[in-house]
Amino acid sequence: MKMKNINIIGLCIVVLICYGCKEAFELDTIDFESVLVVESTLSDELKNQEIRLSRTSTLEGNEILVENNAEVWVENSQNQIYNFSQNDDGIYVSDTQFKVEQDVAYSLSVTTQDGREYVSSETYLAPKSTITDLYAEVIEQNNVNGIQVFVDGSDPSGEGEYFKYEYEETYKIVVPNHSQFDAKVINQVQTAGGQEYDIEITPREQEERVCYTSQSSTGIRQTTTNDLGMNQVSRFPLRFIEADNIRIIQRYSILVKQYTQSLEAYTFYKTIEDLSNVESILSENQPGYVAGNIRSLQSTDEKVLGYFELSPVTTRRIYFNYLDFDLPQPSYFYDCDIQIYDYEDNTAQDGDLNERNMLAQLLNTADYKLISQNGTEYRIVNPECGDCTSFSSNVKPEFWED
Amino acid sequence: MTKSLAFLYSYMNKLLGITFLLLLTTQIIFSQNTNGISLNIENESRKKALVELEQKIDGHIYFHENWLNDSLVSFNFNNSDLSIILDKILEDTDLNYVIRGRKIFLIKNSFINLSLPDGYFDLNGSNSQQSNQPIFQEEYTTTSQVQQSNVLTIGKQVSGKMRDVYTVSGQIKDFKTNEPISGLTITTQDRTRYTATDDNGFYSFQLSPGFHKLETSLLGYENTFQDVVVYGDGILNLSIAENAEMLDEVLVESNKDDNVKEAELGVIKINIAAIKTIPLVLGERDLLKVATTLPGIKTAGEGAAGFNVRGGRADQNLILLDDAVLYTPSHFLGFFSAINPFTTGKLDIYKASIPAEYGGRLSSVFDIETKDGNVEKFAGEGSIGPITGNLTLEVPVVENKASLIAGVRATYSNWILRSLSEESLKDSQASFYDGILKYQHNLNDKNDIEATLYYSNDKFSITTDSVYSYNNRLASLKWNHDFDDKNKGEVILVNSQYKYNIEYEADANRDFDFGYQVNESQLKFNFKYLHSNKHKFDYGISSKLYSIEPGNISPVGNSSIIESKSISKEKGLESAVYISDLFEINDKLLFDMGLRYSVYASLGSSTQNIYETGAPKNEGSVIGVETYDNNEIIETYGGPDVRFSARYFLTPSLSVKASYNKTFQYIHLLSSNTTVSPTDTWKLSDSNIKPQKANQYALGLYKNIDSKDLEISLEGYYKKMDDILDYKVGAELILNENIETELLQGEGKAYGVEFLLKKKKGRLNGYFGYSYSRSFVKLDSPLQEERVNNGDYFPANYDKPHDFSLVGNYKLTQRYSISTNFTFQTGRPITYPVGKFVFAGEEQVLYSDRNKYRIPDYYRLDLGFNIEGNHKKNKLAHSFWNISVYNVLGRNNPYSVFFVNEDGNIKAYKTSIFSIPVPTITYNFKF
Repeated sequence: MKMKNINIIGLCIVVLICYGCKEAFELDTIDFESVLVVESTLSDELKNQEIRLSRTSTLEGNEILVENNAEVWVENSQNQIYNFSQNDDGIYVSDTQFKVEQDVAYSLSVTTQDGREYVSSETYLAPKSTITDLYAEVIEQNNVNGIQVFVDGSDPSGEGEYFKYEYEETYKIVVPNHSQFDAKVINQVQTAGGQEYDIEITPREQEERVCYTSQSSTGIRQTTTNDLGMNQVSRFPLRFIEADNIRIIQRYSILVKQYTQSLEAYTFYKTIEDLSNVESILSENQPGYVAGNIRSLQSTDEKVLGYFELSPVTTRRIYFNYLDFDLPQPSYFYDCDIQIYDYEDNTAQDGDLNERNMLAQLLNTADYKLISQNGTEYRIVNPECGDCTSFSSNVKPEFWED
Repeated sequence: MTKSLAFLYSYMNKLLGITFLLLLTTQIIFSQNTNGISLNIENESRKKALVELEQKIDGHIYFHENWLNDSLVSFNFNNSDLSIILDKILEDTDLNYVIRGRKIFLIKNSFINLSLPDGYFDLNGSNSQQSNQPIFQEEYTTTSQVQQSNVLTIGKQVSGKMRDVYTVSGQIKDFKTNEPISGLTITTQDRTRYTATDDNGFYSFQLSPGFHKLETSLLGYENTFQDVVVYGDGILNLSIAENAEMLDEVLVESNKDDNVKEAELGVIKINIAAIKTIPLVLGERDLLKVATTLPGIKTAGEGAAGFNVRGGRADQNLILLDDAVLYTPSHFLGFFSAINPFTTGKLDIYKASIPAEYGGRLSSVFDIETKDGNVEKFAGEGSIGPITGNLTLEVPVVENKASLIAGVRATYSNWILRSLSEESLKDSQASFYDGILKYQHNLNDKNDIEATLYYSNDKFSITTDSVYSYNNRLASLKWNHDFDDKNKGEVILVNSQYKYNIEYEADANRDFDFGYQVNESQLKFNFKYLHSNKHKFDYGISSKLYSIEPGNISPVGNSSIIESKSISKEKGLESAVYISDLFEINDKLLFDMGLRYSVYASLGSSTQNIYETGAPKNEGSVIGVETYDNNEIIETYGGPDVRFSARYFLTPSLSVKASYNKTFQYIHLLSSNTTVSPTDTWKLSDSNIKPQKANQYALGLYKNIDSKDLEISLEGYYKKMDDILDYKVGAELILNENIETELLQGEGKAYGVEFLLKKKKGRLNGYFGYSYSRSFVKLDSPLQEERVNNGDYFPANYDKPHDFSLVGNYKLTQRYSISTNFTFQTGRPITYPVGKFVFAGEEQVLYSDRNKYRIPDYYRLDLGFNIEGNHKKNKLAHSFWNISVYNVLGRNNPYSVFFVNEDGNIKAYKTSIFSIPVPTITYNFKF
């Protein structure tokens, strides 16, 4: 029994355990399938309806492949045909304004430039719903204080139980270091004693103090009243804004679009959404091709991604800012780098920078903005703090109410 | 050493066979007149005497040196006949001789008749019994057998009258300790002659001349088979190996000839003791891993819990430990078996012919039986490996009547993980333990009882934010009663519970605690009625109550936004009656016919949705809700299970079998197939989920070549399944109150051919298995939402057409052996992303048709080296070292591949369990 004396534990440690190793790896598309992707939600609003056509790209690829030069038209059971043409952004827009009517069957037809034909099944407008309330409350989420925008919706017809939401946010920004004047470097010359130039002070020609930034939502947001047993959406949490978010620094507005969906369309969108999100270890799910209601006329095996849906839309807008919730005003989202430079300081031998050189450099190449001038001293600031058009739009939206 | 003697025997027999053949070919034997020979020998060896004689006669004497023992002879012949001198030299040996010209051949045992006996051509044969009829080995064995090691000859054939019976005697000793074995029975295979060894291991009995198959049996020892040809009185000494100790035992043992004899098809019997020579992973001997190296039993991948038997889903196996269902028979994501190898007596797997006694699963039954404790003396067995320590004790409670066996196994891997310098593993944990306790008591010769308790627990974290734990608990109580010689009965009461729990603590607001539980209790009466040699009946009745808590979740911490949710409990009662008859129509044809009628009732309290017919099951097609009170019957299902199999002997060692099996299953496992977490849940049939059904047809050919210890089988099967469960794209299975809306019930079909070649004994033993099998699922419906892959058949998740296993063990010496295991499998199907697209402003993945692609093929080579402790008698403990290298080739076998949308970009991940060779050393001991 000599062997027993061997230190067994010592031997064990030699073993390296690699268990449950999870490693990321480079994607390599086995057999790329170029599939037509159709995003087509027509609504009951009278407008130029839009349809997006694109193609799947390889997993490695980064580009969005727009499907160009396709013939796109929608026809209904009253033999009306609406043709769509591609605009500059690649989106197919209806040639005329129209709105989808109740109880009329519509179908979408697409013929791609390679001659392949696709058609959707006949679809009807889903029931109309209303947004009964849109409001915001302060809540804590993820240990972060913020404002949650909630939607209450209802469906007077009692039929529309499935909702899809999109929103458009707009917020007003006032730059903190605005002045009426611009400073511009002119007559710049290089001499033996360094450079020399003049600074021209001119009044600003456009609105650069107040701007409005707009952003559209991305992604799929859905809810159903089905679980609740009544045809009402109550407190659907649509958008959470942290308390220190720039959006509420002045005035914030959110336009909510509530679409009602058929169960089939709802299921299609929900499956797409579910497959892309692994939110929790409990929600792993069966991957696969998600079939919509559009098919190829040439081959039943060909995959087409997309759902031709007719969704009534209702919209509602609210405005608020930090004051409405007794929150401290968020700090401005850019650090303001205010510098004072003296044109007369033309040397770096005095223990600080050559201020004349710095001043020209910041004004010329970094687009610094003038705050004020005192003799040969100039107070300047980075453009994000002096000119809102450097990152936003100075056009006040038509709907905006102050 | 006895072993080397046995080896010698085999060598001699080979030689004999060759000599014999030679003689038979030449056919002509001359008698030689020789002049008188004078030879004087004093205390010389027989060999020396023969050499001297050779010189005198100016001829050649052919013999095998090893035939002659070292005893000395003395004689003095003057002018004597050659034959007289030869007779003298060969006196007291079992050697005969033949003189042909100047050549003399020494022959072992066989006496060569120089002329045909009188009356040989006498057709009425009346005289033949009196004549000394020659016994040619060829009469009884084929030439190929003679060349093999396993026919021994007893006695020396003498020229003269043959007696009716001869006395065969000898001593039986333990192969290892060399101690005599008492109480061992030796029988002829036809059971007409038998004897038992006395206290000193001696035995004696009368056998008729000619060929006999002898069989020894004693509990605790290998049943040994020995073919003998009796020529005269003689001695047969045997060394018998103890069941659990031998190294060169058969890896997968079936009772000899069961393979060809029984009516059942697709039965695998795994000898527990034998698998200790299979290379280990992390030092664990694993019965179920061994099972997966056999054709027809697959797993989805390395470290996948659950088995796919003949193209069936992982939930279609009834895994029984002492008659109680073991829901999760594995530890740590399926990497280790939850079955303690030291306490297990046997594992029988039924892939096709499921006995009528069992039901409720479509594909197979794994019947695991814990062995009885030693009723005579205290005994124990243990092992120390890098991951676990294992100790089993056997305690006699009432001498020769009652005993207890207790086994515990636990990991110390947490300690190892913490000691590792690898930062990513430091916070991980992985630990498990299991314990089993079995008590058996022979109350009297008509009654005995058995009771088993088992508990296993697992706790591990793969990522630092979540802790998984699961445990099995089961209890089993069995009372056996013999009514009379022909009637036997047993009552079995069992309860099993499986639970799992996930604690998730990552970002503060999504922390949760999730729990799941399934519990079942069964009462079962089994009876046997041995009606006659032709009919043997089994019948019985059983009832099982299921209770499932399908999931509850609660938030952890104050800031968690997870809402508490609990899915209401499910209950069901499954009852069955069965009868089967083993009907032996004649010597060649055997029927095993069984009928089982099962009834399942789904019980309240519950609320069940009623869906519009012809519409997809979803929230929109609910047209009503029905509420049921506690124990109110929601829905009943039932039907007859048919179990039929037949065997026909084409030759005594070649049989053909056919079977038909119909099975029902009322409980289903919901498991998402790309999962890396054990979040599978069991679900009972209810008004919206129908039971699964299967029909399997199988045909097999079985051949045993005893002389070569070979067993060959070829089986083919076709299986059709109905209402097997699958999932809609995007299905969410956990915490779903209306789970039926995510499920699809479709058709499955599977077919395959399985080939198995076993070399059961010898220095080189092992087996080679290959199967070609396919398994498909079809989910078709007029409704697009309920159709997958256009409603065509597609490969099931576990469809792995080629499956090849080679398990070999080569014994270098008595103490050292090497073993190897090579596995190759086609990679399993996977639904692969084939592209990406932008939808609603976000990047999404386009998946292929379901299971259109496959992950790379799986292959793995393991090597093991076994060192047996010395074989000294009276040693305190017998020890055994095993050094194994798992995955010698370092193959990075992907286990699963999955995809996540991270910040709008698609990231792919793969998991693999062991991508490097893993060496381990395990120390086993037995006392």
